[in-house]
Amino acid sequence: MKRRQFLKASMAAAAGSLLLPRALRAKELDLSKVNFDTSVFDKGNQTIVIFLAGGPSSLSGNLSNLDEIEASSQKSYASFGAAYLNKIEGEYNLWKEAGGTAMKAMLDNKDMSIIRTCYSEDREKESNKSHGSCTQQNMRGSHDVGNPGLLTNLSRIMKANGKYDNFQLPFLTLDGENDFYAGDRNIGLKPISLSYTLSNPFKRNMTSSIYYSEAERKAGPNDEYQLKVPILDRIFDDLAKGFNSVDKMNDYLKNRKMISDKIEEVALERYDENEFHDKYLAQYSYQSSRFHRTLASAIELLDASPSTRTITIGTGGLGGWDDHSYSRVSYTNRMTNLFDGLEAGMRHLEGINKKGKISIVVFGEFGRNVNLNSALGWDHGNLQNVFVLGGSDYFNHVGGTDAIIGETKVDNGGRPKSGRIWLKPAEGSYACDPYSIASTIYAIHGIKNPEILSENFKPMNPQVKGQNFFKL
Amino acid sequence: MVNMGQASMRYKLGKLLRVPMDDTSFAFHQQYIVNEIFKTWSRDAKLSLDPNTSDDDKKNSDYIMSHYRKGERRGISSSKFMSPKQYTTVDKDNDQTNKNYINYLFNVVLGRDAKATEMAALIDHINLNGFKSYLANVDSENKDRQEYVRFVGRYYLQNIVFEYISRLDEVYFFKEIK
Repeated sequence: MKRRQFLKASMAAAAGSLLLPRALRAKELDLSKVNFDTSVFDKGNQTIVIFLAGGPSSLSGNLSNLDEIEASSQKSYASFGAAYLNKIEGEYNLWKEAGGTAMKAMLDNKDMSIIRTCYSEDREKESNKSHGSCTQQNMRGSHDVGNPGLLTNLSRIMKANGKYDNFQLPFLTLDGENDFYAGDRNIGLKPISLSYTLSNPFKRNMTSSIYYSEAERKAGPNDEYQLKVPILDRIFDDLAKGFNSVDKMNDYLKNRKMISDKIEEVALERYDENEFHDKYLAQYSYQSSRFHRTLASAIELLDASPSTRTITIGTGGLGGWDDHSYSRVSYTNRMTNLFDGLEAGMRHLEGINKKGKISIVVFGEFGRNVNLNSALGWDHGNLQNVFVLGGSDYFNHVGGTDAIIGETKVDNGGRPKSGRIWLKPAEGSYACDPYSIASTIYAIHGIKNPEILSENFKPMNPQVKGQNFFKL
Repeated sequence: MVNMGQASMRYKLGKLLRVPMDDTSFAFHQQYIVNEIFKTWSRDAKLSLDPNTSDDDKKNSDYIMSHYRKGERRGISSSKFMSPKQYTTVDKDNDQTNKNYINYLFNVVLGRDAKATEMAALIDHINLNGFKSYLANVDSENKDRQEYVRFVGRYYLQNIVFEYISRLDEVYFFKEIK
């Protein structure tokens, strides 16, 4: 090849590589194709989305193949010891020391269903078990990580149908921001981010007596006046607006006040942890861990703010779920803490009579390989459990072992003890794609054809006792 | 630039794909400016002036001062920034002394005196609040106590003024030169 030809070919390739990402870029959300059912949206369903970052093993909720797994595993599961690995009595196949006791109680109480066969054919073909892309995809309900997050899409659809008002806190996060709120070429969704103590970031720090008039201070007993924002806050805002020439500053002052007032209306910051403990933690037997407190706060917020549609939380305080090693104590304790919290959460929902409207969906980016490796952990896999709790107005929890959905089989690739043992959906079993989770969340909030937003995957809707699991 | 694939905010490492600043982030920015810079003060002067300060705390005050001198402090210095030397004290006239102190604070941050409506609102609040800002010289037998009361008064007033000033765009935007 002559130098001239080489340069021409190089330039063509360079130009092509610049154009390629744009050519492959995801299509914009076509709102005209979305079938939004206002009557479903107006039911006011609410969802807590708990994302288990790191990819939890599915074994806590599925020991049905344990004997086959043991036969192929590099390390014996006997190394967990009798104190750490036992099955719950009956046909549940739940791991007793990894949240199994609480799971069984919730299954028997018709509070929860477990879908054991959440599995991605596409990722299997691509051999993709990467944390980054799988997280991004699951939080978008889309294979294309250039697409917006699922809650960004939902907010745009709500806005297009006159159902979005940022000052009504439609989307809250108690776990910071993540790809549920990601944007595309347009800006992403900005959720209101609160700490689990419900500290209000929009509230000025004006609780000292110096900010209150004498009349305000004497209006109630003792220090109660400090629970109200001083009148001076409004006086200063109005005064400053008269001097500000930058419109953005005055917009900020207006927005800050509206959002701050709404947060104050639905949830007072916890100056008094003891009161919180008596009101929620002790009453519903939450433990004092951060995850339990976060879940209690999320339920308290949804109860007080019917206009809030989703709250995303993580499992901060429990640790991550990427159990490559020494899973015996850490995984089992973490799962136990998670499901003890969820069981308390269900008591909380029952106590406020919201088990019908409020659902909790628990999942991660993927499941794990079931080979117990030499470090007594598991590597990445492709099959995970989805735990669906509450929301009995639209989820059909039939109770007991009937609420455990999906059968799995073991695939060791014909090479036992090779370090690669996978759980896969058994032939004829119900299975759903991870994108079906996004599809389900869209449908809960009134989208009748959510598959157009989630790679053609419909909501999770197996048949349970001859009935639809998903009732909408 | 976006159409050319060169969106500056989008491709910078560490930048989120969204507007650079929104209401939430500005709320945190305002909190930081007020709470961590304007209202944070080294405890040196309070500890040394307070007649109730214990000997242990006075030792602690020396410790804080040693760090202050090394520049290891946050926020403003109560002993220098809030010193009566920084503004004009009018004998037996609290109102005028208060106004002088308020104008001093405005000038430090904004480079201007408080406008009439701003001053009126601040003075009104002082009167409605019921706490008297004893900044002026008053007759008192206990000079130490008087000095401490003055210090606390300045601190209260400073917090109120900065709470207001933090809502002005002048703090965050440069003035356009016309």
